[in-house]
Amino acid sequence: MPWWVVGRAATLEGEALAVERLKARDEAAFEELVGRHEREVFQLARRLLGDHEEALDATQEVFLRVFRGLPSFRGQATLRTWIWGIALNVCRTRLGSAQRRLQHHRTPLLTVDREGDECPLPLPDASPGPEQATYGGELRRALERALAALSPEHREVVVLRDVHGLEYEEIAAVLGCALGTVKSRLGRARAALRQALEGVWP
Amino acid sequence: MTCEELRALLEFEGAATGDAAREHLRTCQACATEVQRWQAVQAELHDMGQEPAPPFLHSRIMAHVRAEAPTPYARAGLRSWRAPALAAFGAAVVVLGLGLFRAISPPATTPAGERVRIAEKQGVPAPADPPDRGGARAPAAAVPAPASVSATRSEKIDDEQQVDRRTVSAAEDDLAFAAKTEAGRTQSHPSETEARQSSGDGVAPSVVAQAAPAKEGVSQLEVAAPAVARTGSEVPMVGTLQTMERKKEAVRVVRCRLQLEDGAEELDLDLQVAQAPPPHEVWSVMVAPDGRLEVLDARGRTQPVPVELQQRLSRQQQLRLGRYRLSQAPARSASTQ
Repeated sequence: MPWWVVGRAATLEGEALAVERLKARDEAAFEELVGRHEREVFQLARRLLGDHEEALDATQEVFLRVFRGLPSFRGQATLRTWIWGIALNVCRTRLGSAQRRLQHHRTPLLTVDREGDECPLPLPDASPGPEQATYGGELRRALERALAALSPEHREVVVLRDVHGLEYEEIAAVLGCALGTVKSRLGRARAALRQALEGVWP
Repeated sequence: MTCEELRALLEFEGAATGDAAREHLRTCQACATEVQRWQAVQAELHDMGQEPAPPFLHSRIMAHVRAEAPTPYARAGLRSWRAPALAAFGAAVVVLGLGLFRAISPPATTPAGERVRIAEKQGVPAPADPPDRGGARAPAAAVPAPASVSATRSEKIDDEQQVDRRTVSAAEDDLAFAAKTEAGRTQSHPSETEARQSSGDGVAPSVVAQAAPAKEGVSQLEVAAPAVARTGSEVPMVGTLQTMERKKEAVRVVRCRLQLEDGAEELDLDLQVAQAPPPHEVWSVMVAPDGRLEVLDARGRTQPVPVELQQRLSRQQQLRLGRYRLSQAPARSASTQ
């Protein structure tokens, strides 16, 4: 048996073993799972939601749902695909409710400034903050804006493919759609992205 | 290949590969520029995916899962408190015996108190003293009957609690795995109660301390108040806690405002700087039905529960159940005691 087949078989066997441990409520196994996927899930949420705090909350929720859903995990998809599917759903829900919140709840929270006067509690907004500034220059900021301007559907597919490098098949599994749909959606999404980046270049 | 075809290739394949594309790029400067830009965009997008996770993400997730999941994990975590709880109970017996002995023949000095003071004078951090800590809290946790207790306790309750937390969480880590196999089978709620009450979180609300004007070094704390048990019943507890003042250094406090989330109630209180939210930050405080307090900072990380808050809860029952917002009070009242 060639080494890559052996390697893949070993990986699948390892995953089956991990799933078994996870279903047996092995905390160490779950912690390992969190350790393996948390960074990617957070970054996915960060890009889809466009907000650091919201992404933190979403990541927590994702793993809580993963935890609760483990008993019903059938192993039809890989753990990773399954987790990403959950993450996507959580982000979609949050995106919807965040927009509703924005529409209906505009009462500012108050805090106090250094002089002791009341002032609005600074909340993260869509504009790039210091956190993004750490990571990049003009192009990064433009990309953040362009991604935020895409439709959620387009943003999802660009983030999954170009940010996280998922294969088309994986994306199809995560999104629950056909391979052809992934490819055509990705094409349209990249076209929209390119259009949103017009004017960035000198 | 036309320019349109090349751009479609970029969009659908993500890269301009193939002989036809290469041929076109040799002759078309505009498309060559477009490809370069697209490569820069792709590189930037890829970098986005490589950013590290924010600090504390892991512990935050695990805490969330342990706290909220109605699962063996929470119990596994709590069950691992059994060992410390047992130790605390053992210590309580020892201290109780000591107290009785002292009641019969009051000694001139208080050994544990002295030990702490000497340690502090020598610049050595006060030893984390499990028997003493256990003794201080054990009456609430493990002795559900009226008891006259004489116990020693460091007044650095906040520090102590942090030590507690560290000890407990380390123990939790160590024992969680071992407890796991058993955890699924046991649903015992009282063990949770016992464990929580023996924790840093649970105990202080059940201990009500009234500080008498302290002489340098040692102060007497009279304890005479009902301890709020998890069940909601009151466990009478009378005793004396002998504690240590921090050396002579003043403790910096800051006036904070605790406000019920719906704004219905608010309360100003002085918190030590280390226990108070920094300016411009709002923490949330949860008061659970069992009297337990949870303090989360602006990023959702658990913070040690300020002693002042615990005392407010148990002394005056001022805190209703619910969620509060804790921030520095509007008035410029940061002061030094």
